[in-house]
Amino acid sequence: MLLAKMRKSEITEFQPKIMNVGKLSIGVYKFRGKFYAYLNRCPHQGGPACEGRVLAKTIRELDDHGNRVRDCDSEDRINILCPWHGFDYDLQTGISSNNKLRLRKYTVIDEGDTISIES
Amino acid sequence: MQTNKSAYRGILGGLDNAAKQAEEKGFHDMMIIDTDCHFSQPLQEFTKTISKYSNKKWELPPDVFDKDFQLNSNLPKEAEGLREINAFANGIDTPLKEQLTSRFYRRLTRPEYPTHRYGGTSKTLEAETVIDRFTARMYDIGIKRSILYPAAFVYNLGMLPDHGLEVAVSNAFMDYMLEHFLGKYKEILTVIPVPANSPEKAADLIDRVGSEKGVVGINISPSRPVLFGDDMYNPIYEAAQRKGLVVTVHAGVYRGPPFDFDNNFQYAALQFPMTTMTQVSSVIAHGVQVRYPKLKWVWVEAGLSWIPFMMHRLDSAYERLSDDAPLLEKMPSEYMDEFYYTTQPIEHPRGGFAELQRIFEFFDYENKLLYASDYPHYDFDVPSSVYDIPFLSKRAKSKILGENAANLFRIT
Repeated sequence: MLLAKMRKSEITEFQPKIMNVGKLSIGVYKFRGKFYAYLNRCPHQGGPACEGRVLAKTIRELDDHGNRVRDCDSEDRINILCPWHGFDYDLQTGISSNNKLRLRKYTVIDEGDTISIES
Repeated sequence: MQTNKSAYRGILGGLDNAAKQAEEKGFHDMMIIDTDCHFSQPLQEFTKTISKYSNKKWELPPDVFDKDFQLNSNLPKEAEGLREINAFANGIDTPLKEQLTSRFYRRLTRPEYPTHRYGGTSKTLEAETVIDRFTARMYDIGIKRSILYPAAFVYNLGMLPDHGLEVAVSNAFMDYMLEHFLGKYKEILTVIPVPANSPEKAADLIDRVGSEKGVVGINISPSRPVLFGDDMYNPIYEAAQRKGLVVTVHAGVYRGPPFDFDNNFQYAALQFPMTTMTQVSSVIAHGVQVRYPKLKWVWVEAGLSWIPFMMHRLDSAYERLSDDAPLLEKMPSEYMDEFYYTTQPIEHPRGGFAELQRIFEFFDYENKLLYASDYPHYDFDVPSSVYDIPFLSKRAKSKILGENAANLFRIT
């Protein structure tokens, strides 16, 4: 079922666009030219998961002896953090870091200048 | 309550979903009592109060404290403010800066908390405005009564080498609460943060304000050099018993090995249960409950999964070393049966609710567990955190969410 249609130019990289569709609140994300849409509700305690920060996962680089070289931001794994408790979800899959929870994900159809969000 | 809903609803990342839960789950028809939440005092006013008790020059400008929970705007500044508070509370310049600027603190967000500076102005809200919005917002999510604990810098004062300052701040905090909130807002209750490093002065404070409206207990911060079983604390226990006040122990921080964790993941997992377990063992070993049988104890914000562990460890040690606990008349775990515990932060064991149920069943959870939110800290729990537990009966939910606290603290 079509939930919403919007111009791609309305979405900024890493900045969720929160939209209300009937009783649903949905967060739409852009990352590397692709679009993702999730229900704005954390499966943990019901917080507005899409209204939190978007942060890269921390990657620890080690040398050949297992010593820490540095901690840095992952270029591939970007997390959505629920503002209530900080539970984090992979922006591209909606799956939490502990693999136990997942955000309700909607299908996003690329239509050139616009995208459609479907349930 | 005059506060308009627009003052706190519709804020990005805020509590609107919790307000919806309250409507859907009927929280407004229940007496939900939050046994642990925090209040960041507008410190300009508080510092005026404290000057009555201490001429010590406050080295930090008041607005440093205002940053305590204003975690929405400028991250480096927030972390700096927290660092200052911790450095101050611990009396030393701690190596916390690196921790506090870590991702852990980048995750903190409580944008709707009322001391947030609205509209980008630097004007700090008046105490009454803060509490109006606080009580209105709590009511909005289904909480009818809130037991406020002072902000972190007050409950960590037991680590200061200057014991007089702990006495001054504790007295000033109670004056401040009495002047502005207690007895004026039926929703707002508090516990006396006793300056336990000076037990006679702590007893004086209990006698002075212990019968005031809205005072439901005392809190002895566990973060201090001498453990609770020591005779030095007897004047405090006597005073609390005399006034019929509950003794709460809000988990705290401690510095020095082995408490110097090197990242916040360990800190979040272990710090609070470790300080709590240390004090539990002391209270039981030295028979505080035997000596002061009317005192009721509440262990706050240490989670729950340490309870089975402690019962096993204390009972096993007692079997071999009962001479070190000569006052005990029953097994240590049976003294733990007498305690009350607060819910937050409820663990999420990998075995799910079945495993959580096993933890609950180690104690009389239906009568001894008290709902707590820890609002506005980042790991706060909404009432749904208890309401949605599938193995709890309707009756048990109602007791844990409010009735137990109402009976224990005599809250109406």
